[in-house]
Amino acid sequence: MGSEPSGEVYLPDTVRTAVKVLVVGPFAVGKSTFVNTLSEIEPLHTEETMTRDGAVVDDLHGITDKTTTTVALDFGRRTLSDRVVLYMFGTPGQQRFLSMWEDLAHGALGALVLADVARLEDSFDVISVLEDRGLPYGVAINDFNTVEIPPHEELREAFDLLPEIPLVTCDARDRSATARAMVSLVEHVLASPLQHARESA
Amino acid sequence: MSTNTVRRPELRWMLDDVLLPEVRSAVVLARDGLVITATGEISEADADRFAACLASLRGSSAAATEFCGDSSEAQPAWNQTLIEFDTGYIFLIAAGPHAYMGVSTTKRVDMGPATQRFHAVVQKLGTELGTLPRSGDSDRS
Ligand SMILES: Nc1nc2c(ncn2[C@@H]2O[C@H](COP(=O)(O)OP(=O)(O)OP(=O)(O)O)[C@@H](O)[C@H]2O)c(=O)[nH]1
Ligand SMILES: [Mg+2]
Repeated sequence: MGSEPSGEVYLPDTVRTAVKVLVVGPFAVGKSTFVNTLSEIEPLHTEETMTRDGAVVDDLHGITDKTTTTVALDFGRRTLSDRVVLYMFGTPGQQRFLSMWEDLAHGALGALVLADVARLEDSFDVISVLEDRGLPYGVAINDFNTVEIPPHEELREAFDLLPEIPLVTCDARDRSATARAMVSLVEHVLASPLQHARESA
Repeated sequence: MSTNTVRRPELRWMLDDVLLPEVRSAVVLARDGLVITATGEISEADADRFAACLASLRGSSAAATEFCGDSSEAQPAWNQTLIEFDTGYIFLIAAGPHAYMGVSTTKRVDMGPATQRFHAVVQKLGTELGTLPRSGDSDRS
């Protein structure tokens, strides 16, 4: 993986463009935090308090302050450049809310998959859902500072990522890190062959 | 370039008909959850948030069809969702192909005439939206 992209998204024309993207990933990986950090408007959340038996609290590897979980969606908006306005739809992470996906994913142009290096394999399922849908995606490793992050080559191998799929490291609580992650995804979405096919369609 | 739903402020006049007494605001959204047009006392940012919320509500409502009716029959289509709060109501109504209208009212709204008006508006909207190229509706599913 080369240097992580930064700065503005390149777009050939002058129109302002709405780009809908999903923020996806397994339980408690920081999806809501990500949308919260990056949104320029007050984000929309659907957090509900977790009851002990409903939640897989044991899976949380040291995250102790998490008491709520997303049951429907997160929503936020962020102007990425004077041309691209990003509409972010975060999904619930827990498997039992997967039925919410169908409508949330409708019309999305891409998805950012959040992953935690302490439990990479938890992100595999969602990646195969995206691949089945043919939705372009990028992967962002959310750094929880608990485990050392392996080199990108190793991570790419673990996820079996094609070379063009962006992989970035970020901290979901950091504004510029989350912006960089989204820029890398949007650039990938705009460059993807599917996108070209649909442009000329 | 393929993009998501584009706002169509020129459709707003059609929506203005819902602004009866005790109606706070209304938003028309596409199935992708993005705003087509909005009216009443609502900022642009809040219209975006309201639309995202309504899209999710529509999704959960449609998922509930499974639990409505006889399993031997074809699943019924979703037409509308009504939420009641201490201080008001939110109506979510289908408005033509892949579009919905959400309306927020106070508790004092006159339900009969209001719902009649809302349904007349979605009828008109449906005709108008049906003639447009579908935005934000590139079926991937
Ligand atoms: N150290 C650290 N903690 C984080 C980071 N991102 C999120 N957290 C914390 O991790 C917990 C989980 O964050 P959420 O944003 O609720 O996760 P989620 O993916 O939305 O969770 P679900 O909706 O339940 O699937 C919260 O307690 C956050 O404060 C990060 O980058 N670093
Ligand atoms: Mg969440």
